[in-house]
Amino acid sequence: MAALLARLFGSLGVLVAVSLVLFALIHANPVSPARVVLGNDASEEDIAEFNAERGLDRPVAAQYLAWAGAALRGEFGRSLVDDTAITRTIAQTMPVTLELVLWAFLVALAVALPLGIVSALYEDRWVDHLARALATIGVSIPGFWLGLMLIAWGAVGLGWFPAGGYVSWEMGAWPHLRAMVLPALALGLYYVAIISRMTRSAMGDVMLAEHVRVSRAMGLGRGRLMVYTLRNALPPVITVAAMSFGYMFGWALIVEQVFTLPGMSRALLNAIFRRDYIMILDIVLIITAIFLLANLIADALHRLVDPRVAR
Amino acid sequence: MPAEPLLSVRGLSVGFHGAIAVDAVDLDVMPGEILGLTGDSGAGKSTLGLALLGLTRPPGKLLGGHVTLEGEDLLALPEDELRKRRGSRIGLIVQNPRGALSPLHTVGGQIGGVLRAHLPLGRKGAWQRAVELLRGLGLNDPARRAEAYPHEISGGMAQRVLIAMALGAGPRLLVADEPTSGLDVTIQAQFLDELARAARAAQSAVLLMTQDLGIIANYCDRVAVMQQGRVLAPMSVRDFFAAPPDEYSRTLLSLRREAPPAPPAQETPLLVAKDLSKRFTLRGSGKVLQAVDRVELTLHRGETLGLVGESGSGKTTVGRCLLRLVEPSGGSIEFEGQDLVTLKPAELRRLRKRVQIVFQDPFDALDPRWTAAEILGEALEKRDPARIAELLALVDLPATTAAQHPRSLSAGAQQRLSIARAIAAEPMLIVLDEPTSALTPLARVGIVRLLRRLQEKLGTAYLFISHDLNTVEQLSHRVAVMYLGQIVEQGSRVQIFEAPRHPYARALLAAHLAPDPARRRIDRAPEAALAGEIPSPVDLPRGCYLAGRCPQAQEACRTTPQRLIALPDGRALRCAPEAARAMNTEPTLIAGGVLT
Repeated sequence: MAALLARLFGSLGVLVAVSLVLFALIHANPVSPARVVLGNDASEEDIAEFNAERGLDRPVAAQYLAWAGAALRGEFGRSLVDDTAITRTIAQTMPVTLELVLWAFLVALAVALPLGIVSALYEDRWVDHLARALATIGVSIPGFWLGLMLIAWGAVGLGWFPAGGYVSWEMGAWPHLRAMVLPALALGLYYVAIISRMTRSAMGDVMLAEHVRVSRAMGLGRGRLMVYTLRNALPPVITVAAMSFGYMFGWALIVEQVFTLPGMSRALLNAIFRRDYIMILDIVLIITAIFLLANLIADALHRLVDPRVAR
Repeated sequence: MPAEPLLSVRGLSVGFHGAIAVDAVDLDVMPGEILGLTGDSGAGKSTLGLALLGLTRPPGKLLGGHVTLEGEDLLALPEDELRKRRGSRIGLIVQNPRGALSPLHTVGGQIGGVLRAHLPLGRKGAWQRAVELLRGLGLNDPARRAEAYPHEISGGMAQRVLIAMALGAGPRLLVADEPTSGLDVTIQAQFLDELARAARAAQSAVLLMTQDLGIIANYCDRVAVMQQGRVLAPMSVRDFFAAPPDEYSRTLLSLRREAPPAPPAQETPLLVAKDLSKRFTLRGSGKVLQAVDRVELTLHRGETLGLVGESGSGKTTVGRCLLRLVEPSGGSIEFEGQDLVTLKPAELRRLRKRVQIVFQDPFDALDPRWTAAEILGEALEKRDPARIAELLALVDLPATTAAQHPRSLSAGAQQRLSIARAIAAEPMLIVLDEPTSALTPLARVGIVRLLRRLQEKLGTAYLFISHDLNTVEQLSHRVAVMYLGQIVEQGSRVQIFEAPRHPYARALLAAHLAPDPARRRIDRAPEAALAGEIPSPVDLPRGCYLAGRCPQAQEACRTTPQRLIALPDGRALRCAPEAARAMNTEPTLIAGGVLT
């Protein structure tokens, strides 16, 4: 428990460090948002006024402290460009991205775990060959291309799913879920490959372990042997799954573009094009925080599964 | 002995992709007996052991034969029926007990799992039985131990868990495959005692597979030798040791109890270490680990001093300190009149030619990219092919070895090469740090003979560090016993092996399994056993380090640190009461300093 708390504080430290680095990087970029908003014809006075209004003429450290103080109170500030509340933008876009990632993660786990286990149990049989071929294909296909192929197949060809766009819950659960199927598949398939490979190799290692051979020699039944094997194979799978969950947020931005989902990708891309510092900072930090949280949960699960880590 | 065998193996064969590992084996095990099975590595013992349970290591395959246990041919049974026989009728114990347990499940749960696979027990009932079994094997507080995970218990305890698992469902035959390799001698003896006792109590027979003829002599009723997949007819242990039936066993037993050639008499010692100490500060906790504690050593030319002790006793660190591979924290090492501890780096380099070291694992100690000639050439002043050939001949390696890389040599040949490298600079002293521990018993015999011959020829002194008491007995003129960084007793080979005096040395030597069936350990009550486990070296007792475990500890032992006391017969002893007894005087007189 104490170790977990220490990890939590460590994660907070990482968050602060990331925000510092981001702040520094953004301010190393010479183009001011004033130029973007006011256009190339704006005079120096206009720009100075714009900067003064939004506090951009203060030293970088002061800007950082002001931003951090507000963020600690849960206020993410206002967009430098169009003056909308960032909290609101995030509240609108984040649930879409989060839902996409969760579905993709569920798809990945639901396919990858059985696939990895079966292919370890039937090593070098047709199931195993199929799974390995699938995994190789899965890691080789770029997500955006897979997205386009899925649209061509599932939306244009079969017509079962919409080709893109977002349908909110209010329009009914079924239409909503139908719109999420193809994006979730496009995002999840790569991680099916990653997680099933890890499951297969972890299972394979454990099945060759001395203690499994001994258990067999002690006459344990298949069920009991599976319990020992699965649990021992779990830790590396947890680690990879947690990392995958974090990485999915990165890939989700591309998948959202392909399927024109109104997730955080649009907000982030807009912010980058318009040099909307604070918006970039907030969105990247939220993704960082989710990544850290996923790792923290993985850590807790790890402790639950493996008594050697719990010490 | 009843005529009807418990287990009868006929024509059993196992193959690996065409290569035959077990070749038409016939073997009978009688009810209640301990049958030893020995033979060189690669003879097929482990494969045979697994095959008796109808198992093979992939890609091995059972090629045929019958394994009849109490009239029932196991290999003819369907897989599910065979599975029920495993563990309930025929059990298996393997080496590395910790590796044989699932690291993520409690030991009680794992014992219970085996019980429930064979007995009509619920989860709770199985747990209770598991606790009872652990209690029966002499574990304190078995209920709490059952809840422990494998990484939380000691190696000795893990073995008892394994015995409980293997014997829990009451199998009639137990197959034990090198159950004690890699263990310290005292734990090994304790384990085998318990195994034999538990098997006797359950009236189970044991097939004990080991390369260690000491174990065979001390525990087995009959013994069979395995060679290249075939098993020779078993014979009684007494007959076997009186007249070994095969070349392999004869070679292993050829050095039995044979004293090494006497060293030349010398007045001035070659090396005198005084108050040699080494402390390590542990990272993190900042605690101090006293690895070597005021060690005193004297070595003469052409003499071998055996340094024995269990893992963690500091014997390896002593060896490294003598070469200053590890910087001593205190004390002096006088070698040929110079103090090694205060030498400057340039002088030290010159001196290292006079003191050499041979390590335990030869493969790690030899550069894999160099040929034997290059390895030896580096140790010489100049690369002289004639001298290289001479060195190879000295260690009985063929001249063609010169062009070979270490990986193409056997472990024994690799160790010969490291010895050749050590003697290349004509050193006066070689520190031999467990040079035979990574070798098969057969290769070990060759190295022992080689070391003896080189010593006679070159007059080199050896500091021979080992936990293998048999090899120490074959090589050493004098022996020092270490416990927790201290030398507790030092004396001649005969004094230590025939009549050790320090309680720790007595316990250690009592656990020594000599390949000699005259005084079998299984037939005598374990004597001079020590209670409990070795204290942590970062948290040592105030008085004698052994006081907490010693059967003869007195009140004064717990509070007074013990000095090394020289006895008139040439021994040194770190035990005031025992030294007093040795000289027939009152202990109080010793404590009063009469001796000094």
